[in-house]
Amino acid sequence: MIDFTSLIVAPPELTRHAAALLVLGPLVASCAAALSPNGRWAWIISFLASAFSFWMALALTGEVAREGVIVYAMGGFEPPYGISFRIDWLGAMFALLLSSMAMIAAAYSGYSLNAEILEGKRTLFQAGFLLCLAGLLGMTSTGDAFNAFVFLEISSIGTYALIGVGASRDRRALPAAFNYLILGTVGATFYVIGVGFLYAAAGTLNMADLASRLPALEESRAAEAGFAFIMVGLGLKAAMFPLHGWLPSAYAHAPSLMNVFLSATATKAAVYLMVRFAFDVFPPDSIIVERFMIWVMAPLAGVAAIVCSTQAIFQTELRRILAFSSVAQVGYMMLAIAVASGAGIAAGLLHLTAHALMKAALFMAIGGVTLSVTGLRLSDFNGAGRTAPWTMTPFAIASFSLLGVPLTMGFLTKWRLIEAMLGDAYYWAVAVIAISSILSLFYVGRMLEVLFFQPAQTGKNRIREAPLGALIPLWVLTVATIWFGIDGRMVEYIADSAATAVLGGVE
Amino acid sequence: MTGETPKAAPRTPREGEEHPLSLVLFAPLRSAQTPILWGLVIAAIAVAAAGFFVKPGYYFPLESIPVIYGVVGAAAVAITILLSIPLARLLGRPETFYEDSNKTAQQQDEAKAGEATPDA
Amino acid sequence: MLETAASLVSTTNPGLVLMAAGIIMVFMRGFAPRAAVLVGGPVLALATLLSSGAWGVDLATFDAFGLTLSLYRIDSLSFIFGLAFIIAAAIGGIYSLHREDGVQDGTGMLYAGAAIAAIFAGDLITLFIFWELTAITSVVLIWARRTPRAYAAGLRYLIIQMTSGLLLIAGAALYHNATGLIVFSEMGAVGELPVVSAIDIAEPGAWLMLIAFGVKAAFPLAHSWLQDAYPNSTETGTVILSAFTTKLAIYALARGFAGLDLLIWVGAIMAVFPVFFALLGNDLRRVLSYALISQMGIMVCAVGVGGELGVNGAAAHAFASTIYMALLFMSMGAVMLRTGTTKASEIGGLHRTMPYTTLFAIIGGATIASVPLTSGFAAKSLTMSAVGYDGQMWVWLALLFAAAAAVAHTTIKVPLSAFFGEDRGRRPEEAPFNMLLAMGIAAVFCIGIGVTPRWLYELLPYRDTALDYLNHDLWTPTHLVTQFQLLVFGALAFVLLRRYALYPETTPGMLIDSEWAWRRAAPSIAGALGAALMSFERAFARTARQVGGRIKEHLVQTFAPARGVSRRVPLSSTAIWSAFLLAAVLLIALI
Repeated sequence: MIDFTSLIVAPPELTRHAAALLVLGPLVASCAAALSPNGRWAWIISFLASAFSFWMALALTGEVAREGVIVYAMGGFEPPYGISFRIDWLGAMFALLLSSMAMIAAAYSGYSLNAEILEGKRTLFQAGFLLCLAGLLGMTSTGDAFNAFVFLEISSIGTYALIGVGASRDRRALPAAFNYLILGTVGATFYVIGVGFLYAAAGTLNMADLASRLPALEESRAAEAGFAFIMVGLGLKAAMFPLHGWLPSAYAHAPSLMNVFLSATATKAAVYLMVRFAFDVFPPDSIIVERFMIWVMAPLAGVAAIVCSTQAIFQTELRRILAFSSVAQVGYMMLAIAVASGAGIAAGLLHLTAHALMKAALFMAIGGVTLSVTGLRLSDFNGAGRTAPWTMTPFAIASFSLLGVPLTMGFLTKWRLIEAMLGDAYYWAVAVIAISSILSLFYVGRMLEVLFFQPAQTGKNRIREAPLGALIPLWVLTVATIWFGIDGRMVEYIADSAATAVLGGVE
Repeated sequence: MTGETPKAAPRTPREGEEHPLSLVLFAPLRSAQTPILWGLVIAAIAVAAAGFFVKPGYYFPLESIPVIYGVVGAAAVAITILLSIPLARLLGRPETFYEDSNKTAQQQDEAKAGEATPDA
Repeated sequence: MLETAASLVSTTNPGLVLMAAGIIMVFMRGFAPRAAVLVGGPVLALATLLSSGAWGVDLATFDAFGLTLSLYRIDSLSFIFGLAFIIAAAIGGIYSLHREDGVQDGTGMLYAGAAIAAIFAGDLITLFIFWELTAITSVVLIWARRTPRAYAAGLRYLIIQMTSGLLLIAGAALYHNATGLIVFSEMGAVGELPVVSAIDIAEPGAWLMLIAFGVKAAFPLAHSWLQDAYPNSTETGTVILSAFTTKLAIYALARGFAGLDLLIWVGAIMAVFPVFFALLGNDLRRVLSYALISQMGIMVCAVGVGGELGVNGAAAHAFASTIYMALLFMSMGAVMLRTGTTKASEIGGLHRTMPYTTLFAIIGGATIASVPLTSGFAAKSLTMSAVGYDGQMWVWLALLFAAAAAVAHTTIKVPLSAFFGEDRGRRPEEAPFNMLLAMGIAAVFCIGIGVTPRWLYELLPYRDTALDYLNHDLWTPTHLVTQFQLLVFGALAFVLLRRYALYPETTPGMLIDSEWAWRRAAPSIAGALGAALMSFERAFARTARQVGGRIKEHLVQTFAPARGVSRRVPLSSTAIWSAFLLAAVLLIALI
């Protein structure tokens, strides 16, 4: 049906080092962006670097399709002694998702930064953005548990700074960034404590070695404690309910570019590590994983899907509505993952992709009119769809995807979610999704009512179209949402392969 | 009124002005309450009589009763109208029954009680 | 080249053609372009339908979700519903010409297109997709009234319609899980009879689908969305709304559950109970909404009886009632446009200046009462005979009751309240020409089918049975005489009761219906429960504050220096939660 084995996009010399170049590209470009003479140069560097990463991710995908798992030893030191990158279908999927979203966000950043960030800070902003991207890509491709912590911190440091820059538009960005800093550090600390426990129990930090040694340590208290610390730490990073307190403010007050990029990538990378640890590093049939999924993750995810959708209904600021909706959507993914069969993981990953596309489009559309919208409240956007239809039509399409309207990607993924849950007879989970979908009807309806049915503002307050530089990436996302909604075979294939790879363990 | 009303208000015909077609078709009916009633009575007698000259219906034995369709028709209308009188008492509410959503249900019921017995 | 084009046309679902026209319609300005698309769209859809390839095979398929979806499949059951919808779309289009509103015209056509596409869907997933699209597109027609009341009614409508879709997809998923089947209109070789009763009620999920169809068909207790939403739409929106959603549900019921005994009784109740509400209603569009529910009841009854005669009856009645209900709603729409209201207590005596509209309303009223030589007579007789042959006397009497009551609540009451009766001094202008033209076309259909029912009967799902009925049963003297007895005595009873002041003159106000349960009772109970919970929570919180106060204060001091600003950011609570969660995970790990 779909054949990635013939996907060769780069010369063999590059492809051989693609795993390292994927991360090194943005890392090096980050320094270049910091040193570049003005914001325009930094923008070009940023776009080229993320495009380069996307290119490398494509090359890697072909390689993974041919070889199954790629192990790339940094500096030639073979694991378990050296640090290795290890990429399977799951890693390739995230490399593709993160780098493509970064490319789109980078294209958008040219407009977005001009609108919101002072000229003097733009080069540093782009540097931070690339640093964050390098960290996220590193997290999803490294084969070393401690190395993952390092990349987690790299990406987080970039994120803290970039959220704080939003203070020029909204003073509340500073406390939001501070909160995220504290809680992000707590999460990372939990994670590193957990990794320490694992090291104490199994004597290695390499994920593949951990995976081969842990089944023998089934009863080890240290390994179990390690698991608990890692899951809670990552849960904080992934905004798992009720550890999502940092997220709404961080999303709501950050600059538009960070709205787009964070919502599409940051929590997703943490979800990646959770899936990696729960099903690959730890044996998925071990008691601790099963208990955690059934007694902690599934109920919390279910509560998140309902409570946060309800919270979204009562928000007064447009960005906060979307932020709470994000937490609810993370609940959907975790609910599917907690079902823990291959179909559940595949459905969760698929929904994660769909959510990245639609939330990025939603935030991008809002960011697009930010030049002519003075306030943050929902009512400040009255009638935006009437005076800026090219910007707001994608918003409407993306929110249809959020609802799961047929012919959008959201429908495809919601269908897969429900199918996976029915397959394992998790009827209460299906009910949760149904109730949450009905709740989401309210807040989406409210947003669309304000944007399209309220009288448009005129004169000085008239909401104007976003410039072409913002419209192109926005429409690319929108077309992708519809395209994958009609023919989702490609993403379905990748998600299914990723689920198989992660459950198949380490060869 | 509503948002979609045409901007140019429709021309309002003058008082007493009437459409010629209306004068031809409907004007004679206006003061013909009694003739209409008698017309209907005659028509009823005619169709009832005609019932005796045709074969009765064949679905149910009931149909062999003379003028049973007429009885059902008259009874249906009479029951509908007569039953609807107490029903209107029971279910009738002011137009804005649901609209006053700011008030609690209890307040509304109190308001309704107040309407029912105006302190004149 | 030409062949490719021809094969493309013959494999395109006509609904998609109409939907494409709907999208173009949004951008059309000016009379001529709008007229071209509003009429041209349905004409093109009709041409596509007539040029379709073989019946009973999948004309277009699509692979998704690991299933083969059948996007376009025609048989004699879907054909007649599709034809009715295309005619209704054209009439609705002409009716809307006077008012330039791209959004309303466009979504109206999208809605009609989605309904047609759903009719020709060959499997449950495709049906669901277009089922939901009809819900989403049609709500715009309600919101287009642009009043807070219409907005709220639209939201309620949308929630109920979407719930119907959710039930459908959940049922389809369960059904597919259990049976491996997803097809909805599978059929044997070309020219064979259509498949009905496609869904086995004993299989899991079948009940969910039945309820999903039932919600859209306005089954008793699930009907309140209809009389809530339709009267709140615009004058043109109600006409378009009345045509599609409910008839689509009748089609789905016939396809899925024809012959299900339960439906006979549901239909009988559904035919009888709305007549009281219709008789008492003040808003005449609400009266017509209840009349519509009553007519739907007769169709549901026909579907429940099943068999060739029953399915024919449901299809013929759906075809005829799509047009005559549209005619009645159109006459009220004209009144709405010219006077701004359809409340019986505010209008009256309008025949003086709106004689054509009056005439059309009378024709529509005669048709709903099944006066011989109208389409209502040709269509409803099939159902009555089906019930008669089935031997269900009480059901048959209930349907007779509903038919006779229609004389009172629609045939006489609607023209009497709006066009005759008390003259309230209103002298509005006659409806614009396009409205009169649309009503005229509908009236021609009503009378034309009534005079020469043969062409409708030839299109019915079971053609031979229908023609046999036409030749032997329809025009018998017994049938004509009994029908006239029913109508004349009904009318006589009305006139007599009114003469002796026993007829309740309509007064301003409304009637509460089953929606009371969820618009008033449920909120009250929820409010009481909420208050109880609140007081409990307050008591609990007081205790918790006293215990945890010092700890919390300390943590707040530690974590949030900018307390005032970050109060809404629950930093401390998140930190506490993470500690708590860690403890919980450790606990289950170490047990």
